[in-house]
Amino acid sequence: MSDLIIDLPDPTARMTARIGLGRAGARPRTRSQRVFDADHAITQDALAETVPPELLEELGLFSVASAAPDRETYLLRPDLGRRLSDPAMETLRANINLGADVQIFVSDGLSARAVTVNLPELLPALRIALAEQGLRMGPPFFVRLGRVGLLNAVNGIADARVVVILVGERPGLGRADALSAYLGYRPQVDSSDADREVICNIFPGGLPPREAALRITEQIIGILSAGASGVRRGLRS
Amino acid sequence: MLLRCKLHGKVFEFRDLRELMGKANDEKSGDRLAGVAASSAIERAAARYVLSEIPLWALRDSPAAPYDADEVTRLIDDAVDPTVYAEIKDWPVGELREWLLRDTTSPEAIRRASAGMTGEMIAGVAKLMSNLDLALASARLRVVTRANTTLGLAGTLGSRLQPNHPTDDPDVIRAEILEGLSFGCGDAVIGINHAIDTVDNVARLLALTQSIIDAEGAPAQNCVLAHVTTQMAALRAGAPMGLMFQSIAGTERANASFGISVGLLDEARGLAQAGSNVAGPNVMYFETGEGSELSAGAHNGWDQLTLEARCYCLARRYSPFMVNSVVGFIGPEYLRDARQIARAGLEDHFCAKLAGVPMGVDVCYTNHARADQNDLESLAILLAAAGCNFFMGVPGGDDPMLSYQSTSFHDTASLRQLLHLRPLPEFEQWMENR
Repeated sequence: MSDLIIDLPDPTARMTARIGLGRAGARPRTRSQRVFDADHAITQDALAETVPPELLEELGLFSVASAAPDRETYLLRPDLGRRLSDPAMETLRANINLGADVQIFVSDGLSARAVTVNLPELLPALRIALAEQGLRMGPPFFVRLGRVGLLNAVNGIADARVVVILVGERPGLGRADALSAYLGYRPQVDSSDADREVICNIFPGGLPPREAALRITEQIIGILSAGASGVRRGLRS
Repeated sequence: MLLRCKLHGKVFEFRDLRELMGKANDEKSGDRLAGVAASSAIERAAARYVLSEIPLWALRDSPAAPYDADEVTRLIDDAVDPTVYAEIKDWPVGELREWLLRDTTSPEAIRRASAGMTGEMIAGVAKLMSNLDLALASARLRVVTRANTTLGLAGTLGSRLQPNHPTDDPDVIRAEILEGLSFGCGDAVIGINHAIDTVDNVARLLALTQSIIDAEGAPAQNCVLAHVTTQMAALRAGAPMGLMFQSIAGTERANASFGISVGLLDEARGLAQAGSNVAGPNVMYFETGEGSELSAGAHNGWDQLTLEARCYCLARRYSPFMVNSVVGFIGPEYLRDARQIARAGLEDHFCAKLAGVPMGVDVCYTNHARADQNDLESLAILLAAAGCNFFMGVPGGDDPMLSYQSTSFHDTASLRQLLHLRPLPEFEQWMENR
């Protein structure tokens, strides 16, 4: 009997609709089911990943944590992801210069891979674009297991004019590398989604990170000149 | 009111019905998040033991939001049939469970008794029922409605064709619809969750779906699941509409967070009755889901099942063509895993059927819940066996617009085969004639 050799090409590809899957009786074809399986698997694996500390170091980010002690608690207690841990507050007070024009921070959120994939291009491009506009940027940092509401907690310490969180989006099937930027004008304790603006789907096949840097910068300038963000900016403009 | 029992030598006492109802629930992360869940298994058992002896009148007298402060409570309470209520009000909740399950109780008698019930009573009895109790009791309660097709007849399983696309691409949507129709999906509705939230776009998608329905001669109805005010504007502008959709919640404040009120829903239904192009009398479509009240900070310290049951009592005011909970969509902070999602799906379906609402279920999960495709398929089998009116038909089970997984075209066809269920009769006739 000769050696069995199986060497399969990669059948996974970005699809916007899973049609034409074929059928075996009422069930999907085996190949279609294996692609679904692979897409689900890559998404599940992404949920368990963490951002490598070396990457954060290379990008010049210091690292703190939200009040959520672990991923399971993070999933079940959204309120903890919106707060900083006590040590995080101390670290921020010691390391942040008050009153910057723009304070940017990063969080893994529901997808560390979104950070790992996009940040190495996005953050340097953002630094350059903001500097070109003459905007003073506070030292960017990383918050483990954060949610968008952290904008309020962070600005309780930073007192910046615009605060931006770059956060991993909830992974879709077969796609776990999308990052979102949420922006707020002087976020306060009671600021809500209505006060925020968002740029989503930042990933190489969606809104590429370099383009996203320009888009985020434009939006920051718009917010600064309106002196408001979210619904309030919409109403004024 | 004294709410106390002794179990295994230990005494348990509950302050009020709000605390008792929360602690009597099956384990759900959302009830824990709200701080209303039992702190131990034995406390949960004790709460259920006490609940089983609570007379129905006490649940009516202790609504999840005060009568004076909440229009949903007023609407439900004012609609209680006094004659029927007088007959059942002294039954303990445990007796209601047995009456619902008894072979000698007719579906007609249950339908009649339902007119005397509030959401709190319906949720109360659901808390005392096992999963098989819920399935068996639901299977006897057919709720039949009619638009261009007839939904809910025994032996049928309907399907909402859900041809979503992240940018509302008309060519992809058309391909999704045609493939769905070829699998026998779309007999309940062809309903799109749109990406671009403007009146023009909603009108464009309604026109697109209607043109496909017309070209194929399919007995079906369309819907775009925009906010009700956007659909009203599209309908006023002359867009072809089958069903008028809205997400609803179980308290006035939670509905306010959705931007709706009873008055607005009344107006929407009036407009849909006048302007819908369906043949039958039922023109509304509602979605619900456990946890939306807590998410809006409008749960008033009540558990998510009780609030969910109130949604169905709100829905029945509008004689909707179809209602479904989107049971696994809300996320793990409300339903942690497949077991909690399955329990909630069976409860929601039962509560809605007992309220007299034509219930389907969006059997689904998000990627950060502890669930997978096998869990989804298992729950779909359970609910189909329980007589669920319809499921979603999403191409390949993957909705790239809403980023979650639901039942597929294949699943609809498979469930019909497995459980000897047929498509809705008008639609099946059309399929046979093709």
